[in-house]
Amino acid sequence: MNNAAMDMEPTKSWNIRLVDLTLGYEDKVILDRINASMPGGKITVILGGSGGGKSTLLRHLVGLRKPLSGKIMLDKYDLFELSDKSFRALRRRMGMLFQDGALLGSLSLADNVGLPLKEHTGLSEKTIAEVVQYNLDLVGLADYGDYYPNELSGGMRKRAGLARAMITSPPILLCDEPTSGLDPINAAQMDALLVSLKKQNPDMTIVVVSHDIESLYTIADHVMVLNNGGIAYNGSMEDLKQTKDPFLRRFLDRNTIYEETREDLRFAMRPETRNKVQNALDAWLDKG
Amino acid sequence: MSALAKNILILPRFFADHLHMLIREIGAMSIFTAIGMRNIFTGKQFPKVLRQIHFIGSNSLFLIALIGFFTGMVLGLQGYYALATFGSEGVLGTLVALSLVRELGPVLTAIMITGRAGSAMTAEIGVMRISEQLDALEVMDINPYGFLVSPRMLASIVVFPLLTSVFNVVGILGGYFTGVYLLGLNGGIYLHRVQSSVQFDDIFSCYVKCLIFAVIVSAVCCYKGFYAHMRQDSVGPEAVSNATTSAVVLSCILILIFDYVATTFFTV
Repeated sequence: MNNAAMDMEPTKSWNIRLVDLTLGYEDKVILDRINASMPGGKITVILGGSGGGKSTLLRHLVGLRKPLSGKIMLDKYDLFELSDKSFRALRRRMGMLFQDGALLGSLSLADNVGLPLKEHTGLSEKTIAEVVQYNLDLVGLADYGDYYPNELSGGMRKRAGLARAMITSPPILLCDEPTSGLDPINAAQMDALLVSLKKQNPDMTIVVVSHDIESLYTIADHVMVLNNGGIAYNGSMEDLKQTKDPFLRRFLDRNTIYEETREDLRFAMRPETRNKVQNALDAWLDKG
Repeated sequence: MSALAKNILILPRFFADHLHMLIREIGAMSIFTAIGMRNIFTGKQFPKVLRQIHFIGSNSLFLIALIGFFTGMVLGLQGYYALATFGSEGVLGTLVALSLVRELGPVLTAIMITGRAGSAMTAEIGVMRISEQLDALEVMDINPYGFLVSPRMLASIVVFPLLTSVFNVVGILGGYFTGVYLLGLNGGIYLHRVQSSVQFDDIFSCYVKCLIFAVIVSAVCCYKGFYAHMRQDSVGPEAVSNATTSAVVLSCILILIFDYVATTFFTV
C-alpha cells in the first residue's frame, strides 16, 4: 500500500480506529490495550479527566509519538507500519490545533498561517497572502495579520492556530483542548467556529480533545470517554445523553463529582498547621 | 554484596555512568550535526540564512570590533614592555598580528559569538521545543532540522570568518594605536612588521579554525536547545535555562580543545 496513501481522494472521510492500542512514556502505561473507532466525517470529542491520556492519544494520532503496542488505523492504513514517505504523505492530510496554538514566536500571524503553503508549494507571495487573509477572516482575525503571537490573547492564538491547521484544507483535523483557558464567550466562539468549519467541510473528520462539557454538548457527534487507562464510553452523543452509567453521569453532571470529592478528602490539616499558616499570611498581609 | 563492596564500587560506577553518558552525547551530537549539514541545501533556505546572518553577524559586529580593539591595545601594551626588555620593540607589529591571526582572533571571536548569538540560538529553539512549536513544524511536515538548524549552521559558516577578519584588523589597529600613538613607536615599522610577518599559512589556519568553530558553536547551541525537553536535571523553562548555560560552557570548552588540535595540526 505504501504509496497508496498519496492517491487518496481529497474529499474522502477518514475513519480512525484504535486497535489494541497501548500508549505511554517509557515504562509508564497511560492507556492500556484500548479499542475504539472515530467515524469519518464526524466530530469526535475525546473526554476524560486531567492526566487521563487525552492529549497523549492525540499526539499518537498525529504520529508525534509511537505507541508501546497496537495499531492506529486511518481507514485501512496502519499509521506506524507505513514507510517514511507514506507516513509523511498521510500526515500531510492532518491539521492540528495545539493547546496554546503553538505559533512560531518569531513570525507574524500572517506568516505563521501561511507557513505550510510557503514551505511546500510554489505559490506566489500574492496568492499565499490572499489565502492567508481568507483563513484569518474565517477565524475572525482578518485585521491581525501583522501582529506577533505574543501580542495576542490566548483565544486569538488558538484561533490563529486553527487558521494555520486549516490552510492546507486537511481531511482530518485534530484539536487539543481548543476551549481550555478561554472565557465563556471565547470558548463559545471557538465551538461555533468548529461547527461552522464542519458544515463547510462535511467530509472532514474532526477529533477534539476536551474536558469542557459545554463544548461537548455543542459540537460532538461522537464521544470517547477515557478513564483509568481504558475507555469508559465510545459511542454517539445521543446515546451518551441517555446513559445511566454512574461514572459517565458524574462526568456529565460536574456538581456530583465536586460534592463527592469534598466528602472524600483523605487528608485533614492539623489545627496547629492551619493556625501557623494563617498567622504567617496575616503577617504578610499587614506587612508595610 | 557487602556494604564495603558497594562503597568501593561507587566511584568506578560513577565514572562508568558518566563515560557512558558522554559517549552517547557525543554520538547524538555528531548525528545531529550531520543531519543539520545535510539539510543545508534543502528547501527554501536563502531568506532564513540571510535572517540568521543578520542576527549572528550584523548584530555582533560592534561587539566584535570593540573587543578586538581592546584586545589589540592590551597586546600592544603588554608586548611593548616585554619586547623592550630585549630592545626589540620594533617587532611589536609581528607580535600583535601573529597573536591575533593565529590564535586570539578566531578563538575570542568564536567565544564572543557563543555568548551573544549561540546562547540566543539555544534559548530560542529550547522555548520552541517546550511550547510545542517544534511539534507543530513536524505536523506541518516541515523538517525542523532544515527549518531551524541548517540555516543557523550555514549562517555561522559564513559569518565566523568575516567577523574574525574584522576582529583581526581592528585588533591590529588597536595595537597600532597603543604602540604608535601612546608609546611612540614608528608607525611605518609597525605596519611593515605586520605585513611581512603574516604568511598565507597563518591566514589559512585562521580561517580553517573559524570554520571548525562555526560548526561547533552552531551545532552545540542548536542541539542543546533542540533537546532541552530531554534534560534529566530540569523541566520547562528551567530546562531551557540550563540548556543555554551548558551550550555556552560546552561550546567554549570545545573551542579551546579544537583550537589546540588545529594549532598542533598546522604547526607540527
